[in-house]
Amino acid sequence: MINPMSLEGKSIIITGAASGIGKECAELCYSLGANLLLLDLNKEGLLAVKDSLNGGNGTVVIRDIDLADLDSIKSVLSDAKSELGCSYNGLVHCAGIPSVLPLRALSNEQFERVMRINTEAGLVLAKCFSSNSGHDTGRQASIVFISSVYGVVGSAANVAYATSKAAIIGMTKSLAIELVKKNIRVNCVAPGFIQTKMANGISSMFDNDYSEKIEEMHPLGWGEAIDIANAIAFLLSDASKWTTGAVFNVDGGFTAQ
Amino acid sequence: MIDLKDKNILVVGASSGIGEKTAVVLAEQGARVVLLARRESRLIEVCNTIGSDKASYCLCDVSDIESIESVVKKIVSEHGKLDGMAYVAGISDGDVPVKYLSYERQLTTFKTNYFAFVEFVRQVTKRGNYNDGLRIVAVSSVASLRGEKAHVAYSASKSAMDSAIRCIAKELGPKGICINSVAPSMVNTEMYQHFLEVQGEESEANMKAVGRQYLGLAETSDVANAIAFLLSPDARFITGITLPVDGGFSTT
Repeated sequence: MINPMSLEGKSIIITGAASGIGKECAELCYSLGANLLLLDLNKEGLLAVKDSLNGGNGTVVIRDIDLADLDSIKSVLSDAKSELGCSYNGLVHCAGIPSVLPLRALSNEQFERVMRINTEAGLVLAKCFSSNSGHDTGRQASIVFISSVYGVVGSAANVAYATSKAAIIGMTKSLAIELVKKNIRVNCVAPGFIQTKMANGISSMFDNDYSEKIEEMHPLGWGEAIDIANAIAFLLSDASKWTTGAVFNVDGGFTAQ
Repeated sequence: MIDLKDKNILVVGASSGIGEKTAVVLAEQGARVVLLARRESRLIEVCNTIGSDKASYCLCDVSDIESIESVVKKIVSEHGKLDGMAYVAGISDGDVPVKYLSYERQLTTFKTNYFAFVEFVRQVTKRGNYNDGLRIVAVSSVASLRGEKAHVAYSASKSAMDSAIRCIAKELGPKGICINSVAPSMVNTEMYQHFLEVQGEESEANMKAVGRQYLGLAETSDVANAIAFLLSPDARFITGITLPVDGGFSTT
C-alpha cells in the first residue's frame, strides 16, 4: 500500500520540538520516514525526544536555540544542514509562547517578546529556508506555521497572543503567493485547545469551571497534540501538493460558529 | 498515515472526475467503498478498476430527494453501517446572468448541490446507520468563498452547503461525528477538458479560471487525498471546516 502521507527521504525542521505539539510532530514525522532537525530552548527536552523516537530510520539532529535571538537562526540552520547531510524539504514552526494579560497590564516588552517568538522567528526561519542554500530546490517544499483559533476569533486578555497568531495567517497567505515561484508551499494550522503543558498552565490560572467551559466551546471536546501533528504531517506530505495559502482549522468545531 | 482499513465508505457521485478518483484512493487505503451515481455503465467500469472485493455500487439520482432515505437504508442493510461518506455529487449550470436566473434553474442546482446533501447527512446520521467516529466530507468549491459574475446559483449552493456543515458540526460533534468540506478551484476533470474544447486553452475564460491558481491545474488525486485525510481516524479533531485545495486561488 502506498502511503500518501509518507515523508520518506524528506528533511524537516521542527521548532519547539521538546514538548507539546512540536514533540508530537517530531515523533510522527520520524515514524513517517523523515530526517529531522529539532530546535528548542530546552536541550534536555530535545535529548529526551531524540531518544524516544521510533518507527523510522531517518537522521536526527538537535540544536538548542533561543529563537528570540533572530540573528542566530541562519547559522544554526546552515550548520545543522551539514550535519544532516542534505537540504531541507519542510519547515514547521511550532515554538510559541502564551500571554494571558489584560491590556492594562501588557508591557511593550511582553508584547514584543510574544510577537518575536510566535511570528517574527517564523518569518526569519522561512527566509533562511527559502534561500537557495536552505531548501532542496529540486523538489516541492512545504512550510507549516501554527496559528490558533485565537488568530481567527476574539478573546479577552489575550491580545498579544491573538495578534501574533492572526499575523501568522497574513504571513501564510502572502508567503504562499511569493514563494510559489520557488516551488514552496506555505500553509498554517489553526488549533483549538489542546491538552499540552502550555494549555494546562493556563487552565491552572483559573477556577475549576474553566476546563469545563473550554470543553463546551469545542463540540468535539479537548484536542490532543497528535490531532494537530496529523494535520501538519498532511501539509508536509505530497498528499497536499496542491494546497497552499490555506488556514487549516483543527479545532474540534470551535470556529464553526 | 491515512489508514482506512475496513472502513465502510459511501461515495455519492462516484462515476467520474473527483468522485471516481476519491473512490479509487479510498479503496487503495483499505476502505470498502459503495459507489453511488446515475450511470450504471460508468459505475461498473469504476468498480471493475477497483476490484469487486473492495467496491460495489448502487444507482441513485440524488435530485430525487425522496428516494434518498430508501437508498441509504438499502446500502446499510447490504453493506453494513457506514464509517464515512464523501459527497461529491454536484452540478454547475455554467454562466447564467441573474436576469435569466429563474427560480426553477436555481432549484435544479440547489437540489443536487444542497438539498440532496443535507438529506444524505440526515439519513446517514440516523441511529443504526453509522458506526462510532462517523466522518462526512463534502466537495464544496472556492465559489463558496469568492464572488463571480453569472455564477449565483452554483456559488450560493456551495455556500449553503458550507454553512450547513458548520451548523451540523456543532449539533453532532458531541456524538463524535465530524463533518467538513474541501474547496477546490479548477481541477483537471472531463468537465474541465470539455470547457477547454469549447473555450480554448489561450482563451480569456481559461486564463481567468487558472490565472490565480498559483500551483497550476489540480489533478483529481489532489482533492481525493484531502478527502481521504479528512475521512481518516487521523482527522478526529477536525469538524465544521472548509479546507481550500486550490493551488493558492483563495489567498488573493
